Amino acid sequence: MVTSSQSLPAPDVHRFEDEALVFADALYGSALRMTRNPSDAEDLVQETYLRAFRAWDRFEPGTNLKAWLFKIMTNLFITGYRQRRREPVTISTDDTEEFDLYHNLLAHDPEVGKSAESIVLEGLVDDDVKQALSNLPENFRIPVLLADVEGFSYREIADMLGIPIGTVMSRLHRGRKSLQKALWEKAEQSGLVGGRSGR
Amino acid sequence: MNCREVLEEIYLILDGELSPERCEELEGHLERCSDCFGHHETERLFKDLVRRRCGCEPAPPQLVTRIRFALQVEVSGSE
Repeated sequence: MVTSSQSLPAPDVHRFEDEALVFADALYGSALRMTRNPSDAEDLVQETYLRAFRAWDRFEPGTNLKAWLFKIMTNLFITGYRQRRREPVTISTDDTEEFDLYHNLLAHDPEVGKSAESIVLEGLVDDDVKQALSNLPENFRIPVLLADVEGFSYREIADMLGIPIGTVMSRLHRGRKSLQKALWEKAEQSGLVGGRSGR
Repeated sequence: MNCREVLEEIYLILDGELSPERCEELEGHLERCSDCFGHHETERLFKDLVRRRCGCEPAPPQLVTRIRFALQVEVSGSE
């Protein structure tokens, strides 16, 4: 059907670059949390852009381009990259469900719930939080990443992952609880909370 | 409305998944109940912490260059 060498004119690629490359930082940040490796993250983002460009005529203008790119990247990761490594798919600890961040914080951080920040939470450094998120099993890590870091809706996440909204909600619930528990343990190890009541 | 119901819906408020009317009902409860308010504030701070600490990872400049190059190769290859 396509006979002319003008079938993919240069302006198309420029328009694609102008509109899509503004999301490179967001895609790369999420790719890093997904793959846990800068080199794999770069490959994943590059492949995402190539796939997106090939499918550019199927993108509906006016719809959410960031969500469309994230859907392509999430699918690529799930179908390709994750097959390279084995990792647990569930959160194993039974007491995760019982973990209550508010009541734990209250004992060390009487201002929690009253001030705009939490002494304990703000004491955690970037790497603590990134590491804890990266350590979550993939089934929980990706929904938390898409909801809490990227701000996608439950419906968008369900569409990206091809799972029902109820499953998104239950994975978010367990993923967040598990992340909170891991960060609490990190805060204990770092001496932000524990035996000595410094404040 | 009891506290259990409110606690179950705290993340729906924070994730922007509730109707304005339902949000208003729940916020009315949060204003009156310090325990639910504390839970809501803690979860709000936590969600914000994850976004701030994990959401600022700029792509390496060479990655964008690589992507532009790959796209050019793609275009010239299909001509």
